[in-house]
Order: sequence, then C-alpha cells, then structure tokens
Amino acid sequence: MNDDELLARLKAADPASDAPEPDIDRLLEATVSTDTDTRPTPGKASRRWLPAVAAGVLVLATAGLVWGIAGQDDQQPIADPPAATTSSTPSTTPGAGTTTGVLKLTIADGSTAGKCRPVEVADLRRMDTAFEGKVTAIRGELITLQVTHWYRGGGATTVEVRSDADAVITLLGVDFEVNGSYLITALDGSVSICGESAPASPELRDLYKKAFSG
Amino acid sequence: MLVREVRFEALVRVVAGPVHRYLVRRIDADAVDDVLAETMVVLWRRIDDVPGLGDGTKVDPDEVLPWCYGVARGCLANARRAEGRRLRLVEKLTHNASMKPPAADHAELHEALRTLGELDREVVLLWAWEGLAPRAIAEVTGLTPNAVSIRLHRAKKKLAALLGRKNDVAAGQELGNGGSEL
Repeated sequence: MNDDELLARLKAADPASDAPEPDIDRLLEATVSTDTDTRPTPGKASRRWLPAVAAGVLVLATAGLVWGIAGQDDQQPIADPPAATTSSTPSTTPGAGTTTGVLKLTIADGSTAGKCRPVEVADLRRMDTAFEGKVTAIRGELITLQVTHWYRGGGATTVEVRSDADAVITLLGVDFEVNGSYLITALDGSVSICGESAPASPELRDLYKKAFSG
Repeated sequence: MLVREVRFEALVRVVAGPVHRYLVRRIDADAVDDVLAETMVVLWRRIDDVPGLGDGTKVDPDEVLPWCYGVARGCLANARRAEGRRLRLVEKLTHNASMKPPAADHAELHEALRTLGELDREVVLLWAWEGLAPRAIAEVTGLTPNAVSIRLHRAKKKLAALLGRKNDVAAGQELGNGGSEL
C-alpha cells in the first residue's frame, strides 16, 4: 500500500466528511458576548488567563507556535525569540538565590474550572514560593528557569517546573518561551496558574513587591 | 488597524468550519459545540497572537489554521480531562453510541490506528484529514518539522503494513489461497 492508497483509505473514513458547517453568526455572537464580562479592565493588573485545566497536556502557545508536550523523547528544546509581552530582565538582583540547588515544582492538576478574577496582593500572599526567573530550557514536560529574584521561599538558583501527569497539561494562554522572564508563585510545590504566575510585567511585578515586601 | 471584532470575525469565518471538523473527528458529537465555543473564546482573547493574521480582513487559511488547530487541540485536552472523559479517537470512532458507527470496511483502519501512539495518530490524522504538511503539523503539535516527518513516515509505514497484511489475508481467503502479492 503506497502513500496515496493509504491517504485515500483514511480520507474515506473521515468522520467529518459530511459534517454540517457550524453556525458562524451564532458562534461569533456567543463568543464575544460570553467574554465581555470576563475580560479584564484595560490597564488593570495583568492579563486574565483561562485557568489551566488538569495535569496531562501542556499546550504552550507562543506568538508563532503552539506545541503540545507529551513527554516524547525526541522533542527538541524550543528557542523562539521572546514575545513582545515579555519584559526585560528585572533590575533587581538575585536575592537569596546564592544557594545552589534545584527547586522542583509541578503544575498542579487544574481543578480550577471557571474564570479567573484579576490577581490581587492577597492571592499572592498565600503562596509560599515566589520568584522571577528566566526560562533557560523547555524539554518535554520540563521547564527550567534560572531564578533572577526571589520574593519568597528562595534559595535555589534553578527551578524546574514539571507537569505531574502521564499525558500533558493544558495551560492555555500561558506563553512559556526560552529566554522569557516569568513571575512564578507556588504553594506546596504546585505552581499557581490563575494569573498569579505569568510572563513578567511591570504590573505583576509591582503586585509581587507589594505582596512579599517585609 | 481594524477593530478587534472585525478581525475576529474575519478569522472565525475562515477557521470555524475546519476547526469544527477537527473536533467532529476527535470527540463525540454532543461535546463538539462546547469545545468549539471554548476554542473561539481563546482565539478571541488571543487574537493578537494568531500568527499570519494581519490587520485586514484577508485571512489566509494556511497561515492561521495550524495555530488555531493547536488551540483546539488544547481545548480538547482540557475538555477531556475536565469532564473525565476518555474519548480517545478510536474509542469514539468505534464505540461511542452518539457517533455514527463506522462502516464495516473502516473497522480495520480504526484497528490499525489504535495501534499507533496518541501523538503518532494525531500526526497521521492531521496529515490525512486536515490535509496538513509536516511544517504545519509541527505548528499544531509542537514537534519539530523533522520530528513530524519521522513520525509520519514511521506511522504511515506501520499503517500500510497492517492494512496491507489484512488485505493479503482477505485476498487470500477470497482467492482460496491464491497467493496474493503486494
């Protein structure tokens, strides 16, 4: 069986061959109206994200690329240029990060269904780990960050974030890119995902400073 | 720049149909609408991130679709987990009551697809059903184009071997051990 024959065989079994077209007008209306009351107020805090749902699949969406991580051993580190939204390296110097070692975190099973509200200082204060770091490598399910500033729970110079399931975690809306800077918080070893962990931005950094000062 | 809503509408008019079919192929019918709606919400929120989507109303499907499929793929994974469903493709194709039962002559194909790993199967189906080239498949799945090519080649070879063998057996039975050749 050659390629053409296989392709014909597969196409003949296409379940969508006679699928009706979706009602685009209804879809448009539903999308925009659904999202109206959940969109963040312009200029307020950081962008609101869809919550991550469940450990398993980590879809990392970048400006030019979406990729699913399934723990495949032939996946290569992705090194896209940082997105425009990624801020520059923070002016703060590494604080407690003089101790060598690797802190290992996981992205928790996202039972956080529903919408995230804007991040508040009080949300961040509940976290036992907070830092700003730069992604140095993304390999399979493992994201490695070099810590540039510890806000809380510091010590390690390197943090590894790993999805904790066999398949993949879907973390829609979160752009992890090599060389990108991120503000990350975690509680009990699980990264918070409802906007508290995000690409570094002056607004979110300001919240971090307020939450973890003193 | 056109207003956000106009750009979004231009995008949706191009991608909604293909994304809908992508979902129809992979989940049961009663979940399609929800996941499609979720996918559209993500596209709406991330309209500025869609590669290849310019400021005008001209939208090139080849430019934007792989990224949109990738979003749909993520939403699909969310839905499966969130609802505790195990709607793996082949289960859906072969066992789900809400789907049309596959025609008998596709049963072997589904069985062969089931022998592939999930990612290999996705690569093959993106090639066959979505009609994507390896570079676009790479954009959907996050694999490198090279890795896609390798997986695709391997998976096609495996499928062809499995289906070819079945054909041999069937031909042999029909022909009364007539010694079929490939």
